[in-house]
Amino acid sequence: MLRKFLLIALVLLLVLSVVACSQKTEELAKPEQTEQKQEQQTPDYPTKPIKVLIGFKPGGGSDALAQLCEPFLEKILGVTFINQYIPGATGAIAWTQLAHEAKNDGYTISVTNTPMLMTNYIMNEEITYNIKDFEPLANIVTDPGIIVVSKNSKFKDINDFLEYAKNNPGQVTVGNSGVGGDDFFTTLIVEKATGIEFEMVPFQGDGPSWQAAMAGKIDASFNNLGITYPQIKAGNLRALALFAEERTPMLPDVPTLKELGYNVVSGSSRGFSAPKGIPDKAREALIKAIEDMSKDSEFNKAAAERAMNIDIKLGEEYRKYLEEQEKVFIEIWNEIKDQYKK
Amino acid sequence: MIVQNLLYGLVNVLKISNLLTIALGTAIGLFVGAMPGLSATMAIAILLPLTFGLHPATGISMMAALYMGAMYGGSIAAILLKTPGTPAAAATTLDGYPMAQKGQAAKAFGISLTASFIGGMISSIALLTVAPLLGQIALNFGPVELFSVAVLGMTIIASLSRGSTIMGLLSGAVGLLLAMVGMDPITGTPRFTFGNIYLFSGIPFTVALIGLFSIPQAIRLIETIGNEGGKHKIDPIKERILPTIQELKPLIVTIFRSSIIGVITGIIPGTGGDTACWFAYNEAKRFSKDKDKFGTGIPEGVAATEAANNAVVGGALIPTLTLGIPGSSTTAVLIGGLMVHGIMPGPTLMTEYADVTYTLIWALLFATIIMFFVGLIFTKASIYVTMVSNRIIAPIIVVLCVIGSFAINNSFFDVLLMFGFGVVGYFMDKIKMPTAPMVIGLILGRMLDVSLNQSLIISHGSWSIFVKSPISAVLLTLALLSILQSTPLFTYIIKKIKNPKKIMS
Amino acid sequence: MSDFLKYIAAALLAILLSIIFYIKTFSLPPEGYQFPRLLIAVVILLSIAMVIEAYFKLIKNAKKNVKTEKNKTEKNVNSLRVFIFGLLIGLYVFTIKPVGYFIVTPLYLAVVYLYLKSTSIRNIVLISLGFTIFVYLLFVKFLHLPIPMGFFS
Repeated sequence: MLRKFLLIALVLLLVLSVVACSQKTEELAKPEQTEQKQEQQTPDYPTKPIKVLIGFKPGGGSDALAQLCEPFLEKILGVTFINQYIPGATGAIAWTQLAHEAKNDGYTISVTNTPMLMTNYIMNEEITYNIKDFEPLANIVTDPGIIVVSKNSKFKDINDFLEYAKNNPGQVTVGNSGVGGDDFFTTLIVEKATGIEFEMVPFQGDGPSWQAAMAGKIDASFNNLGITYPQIKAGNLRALALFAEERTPMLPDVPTLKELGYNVVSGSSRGFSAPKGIPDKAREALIKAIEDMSKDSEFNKAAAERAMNIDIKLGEEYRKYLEEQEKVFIEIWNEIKDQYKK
Repeated sequence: MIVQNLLYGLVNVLKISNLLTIALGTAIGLFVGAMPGLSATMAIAILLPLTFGLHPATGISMMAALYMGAMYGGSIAAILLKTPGTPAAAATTLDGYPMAQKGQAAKAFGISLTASFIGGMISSIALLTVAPLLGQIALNFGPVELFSVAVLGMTIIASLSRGSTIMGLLSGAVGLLLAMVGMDPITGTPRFTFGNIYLFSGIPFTVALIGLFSIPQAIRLIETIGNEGGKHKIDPIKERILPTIQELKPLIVTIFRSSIIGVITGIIPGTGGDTACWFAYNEAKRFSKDKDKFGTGIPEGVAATEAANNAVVGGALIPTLTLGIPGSSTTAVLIGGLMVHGIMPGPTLMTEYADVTYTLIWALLFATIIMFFVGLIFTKASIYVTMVSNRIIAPIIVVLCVIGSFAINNSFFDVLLMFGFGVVGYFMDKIKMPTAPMVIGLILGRMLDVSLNQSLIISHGSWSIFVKSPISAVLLTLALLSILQSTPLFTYIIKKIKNPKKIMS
Repeated sequence: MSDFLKYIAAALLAILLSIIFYIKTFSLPPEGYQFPRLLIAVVILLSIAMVIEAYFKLIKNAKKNVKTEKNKTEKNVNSLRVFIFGLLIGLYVFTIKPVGYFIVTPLYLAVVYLYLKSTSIRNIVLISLGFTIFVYLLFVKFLHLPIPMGFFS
């Protein structure tokens, strides 16, 4: 009896090890090809795989960014990237680890996304990291905010919408992706800029929010361009306004709020950061690699296929961007936190 | 146009290379599903990047096949060991394990496999034929309707409470209370987290499920001396697995009903196999003539849950493919996979990417057929487990629980949480308090709280919104009926109406 | 411990949990505490109801003097064995983080098997090591899932 069981276990073991080995050889084969090419450029970094902490579930937006960039970065740097998923507390568990536990030797980095990276600790004192603990490497993508309504909505354009909302304070229901998310703060920024009061409905993620708008369960959804684009293109959702510096070629007819005289530029962005104090060599190598990647036409094509809006901000520029954003969020949060906290 | 796409997809899927990847996906799914602590969603999320080298149609088909396979695979551990292989098989333990205890493990497997097969086929056919029509259902489920679904789900708790209703309700209420732990979705305030950021996202119900179901079972296996398992000698080679037509006949209605429940639960965004199995089990019991036999090891219980969780696969793909709205957490991961392949999930999937989409739909159908045959072989092999001594199995279950709960969120805290739930589960078992209601409370609690608050924001505080929506009104009426049905008064009235000669049990 | 006392203990635990949660609700905004407070009330009421139900059962059983059934189910349980097995699970759970999967898992399996006298020494070694490697291959090599590596990381 036992022998039979052991036999089965042995067979399974064999099968699995064969599968595992075949994968291993694949992985090993990749860096070897490119190693000699890069050797003169960066003699001591990198020499071993780089770990990427991802604060969200595999298959989510941060994972998508990592999956997009890693093949190109692997080619440039000649080492593999290993994703480590640590979902929970909207990324805060991974970022706390990056700030307090990860070695700052340049072999651990993380996908960092705004506004969660800052709003996490602005809104909750239990969260103990802040952006000063990080070495921002580069922003890669920014998905601008957008207002969408159902195709059957009575709001034909942004003026309709704002006028109605102005005349009916607190009556227009607008969805967002959750308290502390980019759409939540965007709504507050718009409220402040226009003097309008919305009824904000928090959902658990961008998807449920636009789905409720599409079905007419709520009046509008403050969302992101890249996420809602397929539905806008198919005519199920109507885009009213974009929160970007200028119009997007994807939707040339949709105005920006800036055009209407409201200075609201907002969205969610994703990039890479390392723990503070990594060796200069490592920092430079990583930033350089991202810069090279951003010039690769293949990379840009792959990003466009996934409706990702490339927005490269390297090194110091990224740090400044994060600091400015932090200031904006702290200011808004201080104004409204009494409604949300006791 | 549609016929052309259908034919194209069929021809495409019949390529040897595609059939082989589908078979491989199904086999991996069966295996992963059968391992307690490993769920289909995890496997798909992690294995997806490995398929990026393949053609999109092939890669995504393989993952859908894995999903289908895992849904059956989950029942194997549930029947043999009373440790659900996947959350969607949790309800299968209720009748599957008692059947195995009676020496009917093979029969339970056969019923599970047949029900899974029929459920999978019905959902594949629904996906192939009426998907665009059914897809619209998903849009009709907003916060108001989801609240009513959750309320209806809560009524299951009462019917699951064998013996003492009060204890079942208490277990469910504690589950609901524990579901409140985490960031409050409406104000963003951490609730009952005690300053621990590992609790900000709430108690992961998969972790709680592993603890509540599997750890007590591991302890139970070793708690008595001289009872070392293998008492029912089954010869895996000779044992008949598939049920005869006579055995299947009384189950057909249950299987069909469960399949429909599975498809619909799949379509509704935010609910998947983990909810469908309880709904299906509950309905099977509601329509059954001998309700009291549920939980003692009857084929209906196994057939109901297994048909439903496989039907969820096709159901969940319906809104995913027609609208780009994921019907379950697993299909949400699949959508991510499509994006990496350069395919924008959305309403254009059925038109612009018809080649990929229709191949995927056919692939699901073939995966179901392959699942039947691979499952048969796999099941025969797994019956050997019944021969292994309980003393050997028990610690192995523990290791799988520990590693599995760690892998979900890459978190030690979850391992401790799992262990805590394991201890609680063991003592609950000792005082005969059912653990299943607690799991349902944990699954539905969040949904109940979030959708209630959302609905009230949308209605500006008016409760009448719940009866104004027709879907919600119907669901709430059903819930009310379920509650009334479990009271003695109702049975009395039914008796009176249905002619005093024919007394119902 | 008699059954009745067990129910009282369970009810007290549930009520204790409710009270802790109730105290916590004071630091929450109204949207955050309404539903939980409702649930807290339900849990407390049901706990009390459970005790009352158990009490009536106790009286009923005392009248009928049914003891045979209870003895049947209780006597076979080897409490010491359960306790040690549970303790070993606890040890396994708490040591796997610092020490790591590769050392703790085979050790845990071997110790449990030795304690339970599951099979021959040779098989114990084989199964403990074999299963450890099997899970490693399945999780890490095949599914690319994380396992606790301890000081192997």
